[in-house]
Amino acid sequence: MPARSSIVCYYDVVSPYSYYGVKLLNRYKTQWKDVDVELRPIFLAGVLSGSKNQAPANVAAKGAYMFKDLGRLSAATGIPLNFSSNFPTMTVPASRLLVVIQKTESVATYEQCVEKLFEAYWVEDKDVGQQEILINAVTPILGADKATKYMQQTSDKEIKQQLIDNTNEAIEAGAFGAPTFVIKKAGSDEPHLFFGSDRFEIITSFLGLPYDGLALKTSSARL
Amino acid sequence: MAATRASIICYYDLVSPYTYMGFKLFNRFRKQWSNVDVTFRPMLLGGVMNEIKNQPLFAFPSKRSHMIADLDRISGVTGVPFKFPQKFPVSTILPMRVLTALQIHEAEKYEQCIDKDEYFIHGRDISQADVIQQALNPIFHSDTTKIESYLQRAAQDQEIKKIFKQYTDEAIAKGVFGAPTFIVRKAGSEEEMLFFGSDRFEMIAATLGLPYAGLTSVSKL
Repeated sequence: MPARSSIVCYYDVVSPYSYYGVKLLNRYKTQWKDVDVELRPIFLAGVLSGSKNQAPANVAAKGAYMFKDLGRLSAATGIPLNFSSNFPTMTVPASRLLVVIQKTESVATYEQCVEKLFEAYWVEDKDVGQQEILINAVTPILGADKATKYMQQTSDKEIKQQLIDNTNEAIEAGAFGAPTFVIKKAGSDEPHLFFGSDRFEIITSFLGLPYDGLALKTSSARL
Repeated sequence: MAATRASIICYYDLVSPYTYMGFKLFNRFRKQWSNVDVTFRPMLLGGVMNEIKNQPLFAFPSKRSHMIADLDRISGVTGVPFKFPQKFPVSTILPMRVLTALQIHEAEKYEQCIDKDEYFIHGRDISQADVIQQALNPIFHSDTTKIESYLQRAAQDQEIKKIFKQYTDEAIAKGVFGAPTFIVRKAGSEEEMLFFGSDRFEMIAATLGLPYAGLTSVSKL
């Protein structure tokens, strides 16, 4: 039995709420003790069809609401968002690239690359469906050689299968969208599924952690 | 002319589990919120869904399972009791029309009547007239004749039906796609901001410059 709690965050770069889920999780976890966090890429469209769900933007009123909600979330958290002019885009190449990076690089480097791709899409308004854009995005972190090599590896059977496996795992866990958090308390093997970037207050209470709120704290020191 | 006080309109339907939780939480948080005008407006959630071609949560098995687990956890954290009813969903046209009538004719008792825990604590079928009668009895001091008259009006009065339908149409026109939905206006502003769900109180508080006590403090409010 693990002595630490664990959080697996299933995300897809195409999902704006995954952007906030990952950014907020990465912000909060710097203050958490004894919690293992893993960001696991999935193919959101696969999760939606596997759970027989629909994307929110399919209903016009929900799509319109999403813009407003994200704008307010941006203001409240200090995490910028410029709604992508290429929404939605095919993020399978991006997800596969992140699978390669997760398998090969350190956790810290991988997490940097996750945030970088989210920012390329949701802040810089780049079309992350395009290989050149992906390579350029991760080059500052990995260097041009690795970026190109990893992009080529995205057509490897093993990499494609890993993304499929991650996606199926999420569906089997009960996921119907992104971001989805599967959480285990320290000392327990029982998984608990939380959906959405708006469950951190419940998640932190569940794990006996303090909730820091949406606003960016100006002081990084914690007593 | 823009109102000088901030206002929040909550569009609700008794059938909705998240509306039950949202209503309870909202009433706790607003104890700390002064200078905010609050209105609870009845709407027919099923009517909204049909019109905009949305589907309710419970139509999707994974979403339905998550909803129940989610509300159980929120209940645990906040101390708001919650028990998912065995018979779900039920038609809420009758109780919602009763509430429409009460909003007009029994303003002081109206919110208490919404707050009855028949469905999401006791699991009673609120589509049934006798359950509604029983629920309203203590609020109306056992004036069964009065309650019966509201039940009749809810079932037959064209004016009540029309007003309830108007509220539902109004909700759709404002962009409502589910329940609970909070239409928020800042003091002195005409702009209506739509917040969907029982999980946006921190954001609503931030928008209106109001304190947010947090979910773990709800039981103390």
